[in-house]
Amino acid sequence: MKNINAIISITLGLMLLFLLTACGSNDNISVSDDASTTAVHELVIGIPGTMSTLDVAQEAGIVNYYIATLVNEGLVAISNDGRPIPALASSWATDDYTAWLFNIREDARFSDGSYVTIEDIVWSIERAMNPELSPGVAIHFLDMIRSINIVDDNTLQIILNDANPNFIWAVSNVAGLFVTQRAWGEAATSIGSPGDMLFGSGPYRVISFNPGSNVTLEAQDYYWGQSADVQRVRFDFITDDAARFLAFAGGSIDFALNIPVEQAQQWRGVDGTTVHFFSDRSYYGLTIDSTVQPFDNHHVRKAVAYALNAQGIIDSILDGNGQVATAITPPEQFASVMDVSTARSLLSQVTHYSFNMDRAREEFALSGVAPFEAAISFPSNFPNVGRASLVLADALSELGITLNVREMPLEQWLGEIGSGEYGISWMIYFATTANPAEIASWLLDGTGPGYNPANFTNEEIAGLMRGVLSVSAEEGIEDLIRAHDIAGELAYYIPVWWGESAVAWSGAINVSNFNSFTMLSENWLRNFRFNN
Amino acid sequence: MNKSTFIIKRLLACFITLFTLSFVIFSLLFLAPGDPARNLVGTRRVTDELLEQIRAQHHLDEPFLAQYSRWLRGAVNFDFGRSIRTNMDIIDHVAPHAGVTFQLVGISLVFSICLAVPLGIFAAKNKGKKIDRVINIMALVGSSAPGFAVGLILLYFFAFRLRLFPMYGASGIDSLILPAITLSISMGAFIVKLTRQAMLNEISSDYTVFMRARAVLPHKILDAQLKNASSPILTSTGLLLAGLFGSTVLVETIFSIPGLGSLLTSAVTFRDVPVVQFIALALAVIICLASAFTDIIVYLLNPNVHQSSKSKQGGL
Amino acid sequence: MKYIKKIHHLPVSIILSGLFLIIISLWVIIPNIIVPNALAQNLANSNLPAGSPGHILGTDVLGRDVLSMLIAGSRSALTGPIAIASGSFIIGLLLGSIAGWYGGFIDRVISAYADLTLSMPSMLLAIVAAGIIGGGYWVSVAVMIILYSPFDIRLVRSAVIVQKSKPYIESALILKIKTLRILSRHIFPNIAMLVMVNFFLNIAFGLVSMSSLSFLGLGVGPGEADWGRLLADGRQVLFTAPAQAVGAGILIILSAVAINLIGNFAMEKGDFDES
Repeated sequence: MKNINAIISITLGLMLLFLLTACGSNDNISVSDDASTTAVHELVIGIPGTMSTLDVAQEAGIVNYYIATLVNEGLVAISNDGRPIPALASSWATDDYTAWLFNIREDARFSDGSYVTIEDIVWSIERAMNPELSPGVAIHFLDMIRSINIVDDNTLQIILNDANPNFIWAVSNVAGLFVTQRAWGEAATSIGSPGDMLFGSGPYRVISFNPGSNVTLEAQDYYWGQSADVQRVRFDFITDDAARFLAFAGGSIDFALNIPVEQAQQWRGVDGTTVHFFSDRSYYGLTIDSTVQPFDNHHVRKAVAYALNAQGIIDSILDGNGQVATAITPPEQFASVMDVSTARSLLSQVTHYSFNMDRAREEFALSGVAPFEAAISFPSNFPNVGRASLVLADALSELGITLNVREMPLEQWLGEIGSGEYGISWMIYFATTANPAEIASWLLDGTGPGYNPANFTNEEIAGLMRGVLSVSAEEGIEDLIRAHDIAGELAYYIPVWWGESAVAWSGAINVSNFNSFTMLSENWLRNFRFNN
Repeated sequence: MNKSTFIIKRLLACFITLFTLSFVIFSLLFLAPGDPARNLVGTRRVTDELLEQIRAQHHLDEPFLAQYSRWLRGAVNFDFGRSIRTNMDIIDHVAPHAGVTFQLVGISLVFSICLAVPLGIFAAKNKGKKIDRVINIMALVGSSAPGFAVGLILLYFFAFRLRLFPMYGASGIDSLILPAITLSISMGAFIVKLTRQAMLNEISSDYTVFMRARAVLPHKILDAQLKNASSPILTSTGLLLAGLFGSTVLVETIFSIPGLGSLLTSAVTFRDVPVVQFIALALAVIICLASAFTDIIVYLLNPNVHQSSKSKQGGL
Repeated sequence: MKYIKKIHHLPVSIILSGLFLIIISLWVIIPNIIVPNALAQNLANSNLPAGSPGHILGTDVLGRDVLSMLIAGSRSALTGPIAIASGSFIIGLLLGSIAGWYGGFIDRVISAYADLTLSMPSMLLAIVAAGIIGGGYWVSVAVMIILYSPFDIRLVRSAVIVQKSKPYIESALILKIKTLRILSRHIFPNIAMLVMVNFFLNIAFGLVSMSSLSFLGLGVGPGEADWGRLLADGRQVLFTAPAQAVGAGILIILSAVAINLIGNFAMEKGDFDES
């Protein structure tokens, strides 16, 4: 094979490729040096998703929140059981839920040692309020704040347009207030990108970020609060569940989030592994749009509700990891005002319809509606919701109703929520705050179409909810339950299950008290310990 | 046709392709259901006012042609806008992902060419013998196995069982070896068939018979055959690249590689129009230029074979 | 026709492939008779392991029999690829013969279309298009037809050009026989074998492409049985209940290999020498 021409032509082709390869290669990629080369013990957390920017204000993904919570602080943080606790504000006070006073902590320092000033805080709040700069979090502040006043170096006053007993959540990290240094923020061209990684006063600082690949954080020395055992933590984004399991089984990651229910058995099979299920305060249920024919008929809605085998879905599809939902708000959401078991029995009194095919047939006959066809869609990253849809479709076919199940990307599915185009759709809601009225404030806003995803109008429910939102959580409980009950009877929403999530950790670490608040709570890595 | 008109025509065809592609993708994205503004806000309650504000910021409220011409004007000046999702400059947003994919495709191309071309030549020289049949069957199975199935098998045995390679991510060349092998298998099978067929055509050609009759030295005959056979292989470089860039999505999914393919799929579902446009066009530019470049080389090497070699590709 | 006599001399691999494809064809044509209740749910029987009585390969999470779903899944796994190959065959025959026969401007337009489509990463474009339009089985099939047809167009075009210059066509032209008649009587029979072989190979490619799209969630809808989808769904439990994923994977690979083997064999025997 000494032919010069052939070799030249093939080589030329190859050179072209190397050229392309060289142009495209980027040093950013190979950063993560193994923990073994340094003395620092590194915790590796496998995340089943991906992240393009660290900035929550841009990309309001839950993983972005987990990481930002370790790096930046709000005025308020939350504890491991979901209560608001001091962060940059050491204390706060309000008399009328309209004017709020915050005492700013004097010993809070950014990771370069400089002190957090009141100007930094004001600048950060204003940035979070601006829908152009912060499309991901501005929704929490919209039309809420009238003015922000600096009373003195350590006192900040915020005046609201209307009284709001739940305002404290808006200035916490769970809503999206992450304070950064004003000078740094103004100099940054693109906050949250590898060039301008986050800068904050939280317990950790970012030492590397490869979008879509991994983020590494290291404990910072200037944090005012209690530090954790974990000196360094790396979040690896492993989008494929099968690959993530292999990585865990092979010892490449120590902790994994959101283990799919059907894989739980597989994960338990790895030596020394703990698989931990906990209530994630999520609500999975059907939304019935009463503006769409024939769902304006109360009997049709009740027929669908009776045809839904929630217990069967939980037992088979969820392998028992979930609770039959009797209302839209899960009992764990009431943890800040009452005992969870009390809440559970209170919610079981709320009107709901348990699986009963005979009653379903009866109701459908009463409705006088002819057999019809409807479509239901589910987001592709929730395969269990798809399977539950198939179970419902199977049951409805016995009534003569054809339910076409469609799968679509999450983003497209989001666009259909409350669109008024579909009579029957899924609602999947993960509560972010510990406010018992969080889910109801949207789903039960009966003012009219557009105010709630079911597009229903009910002045009684709307009035109750207005009352609930103008008083403290404790005072509002009775009316909140009442609103749930009326809406439940009308079957605008058919609750299916209250969700549970699973995490898994290897024998190398120990995790204590892990629950749905943990990864949003103040310095949450304190719950993690190495075993040796 | 002289050299310069050929080159100009070839490059002009590239530009027409790119323009059409950009228009097709833009209109598809415009017609598609889903709302990027809504996606930015997530699963929470949202006011129309906020949605309007976000749409106005990204010019999503303008009519189709206004949006397209805005994008086109920018693109001509190498300003591709900002990602709707992250608000980052497109180039900054895409560049870190592009590196991995280019490395992956580059390694795969080298793997598949270095192995497949000699195998194809070898099979052709031994046509009908056992070794030819073995190579043929290997190529058949290679092109019949879906990349995702091969990837999973490799992942299980070489990364998990034998611990030879990392199981995910893109931290260095070693983590790209398994994905590259996965990509190379179907591509290599394609090249084996292509090379074998090209060589067979030359072996049975008149000039070979003539040279044999004239008792020309065997390696001189091989030289001539290789030279002629190299042009159909080279002309299909564009096709090969297109195939590699296409299959890379699956491989990136299985091996959790944050490359262009996974970025593109997530941008498509998010309706992040500027990102989709940029990635699709950047890939098309590479593929177009590569195939134009190889066409030009082939043309310069042997102006006469241009037409006939092109028509031969169809059989694959 | 001349091959029928040689059936005893066929290689074992071809006979096995043929038998395998006959079985699969039966599955495709009459799944309702072979497995009438393939999609019947039974929540009480969910996740039975392989080897359970009545369920040789076990059941899935909704209690559906895995073996029945694999059999029923052959229909959507193969009809799509066959539709792709046929669609691309028709477009190829139509545009290819027009371009090859008339030449000139129309040839340039058609060739430009083929070049344009070929210069795009087809799988990627399929993902973009299917993702934008919202997926769905027939959307993916339509996209694939558009992306596969340039190969057929080029193939038919060059074959028509070769045939056109042969003496018998020239004499037909002199006899003023109509174009359509020349094409259908003289040219198509001469390129039929070549196009048929390509048709077969397209089915194999289509099978792999469609299962890849299904794997990415862009193929068939949920709840339907389809090999690509069964593989994707079964992958979650690959290490605890491998029957579904492994079974679907084996069926995809075997079918594609069998189709390829037969197509290739026909190509070798057909002895095409167009150039």
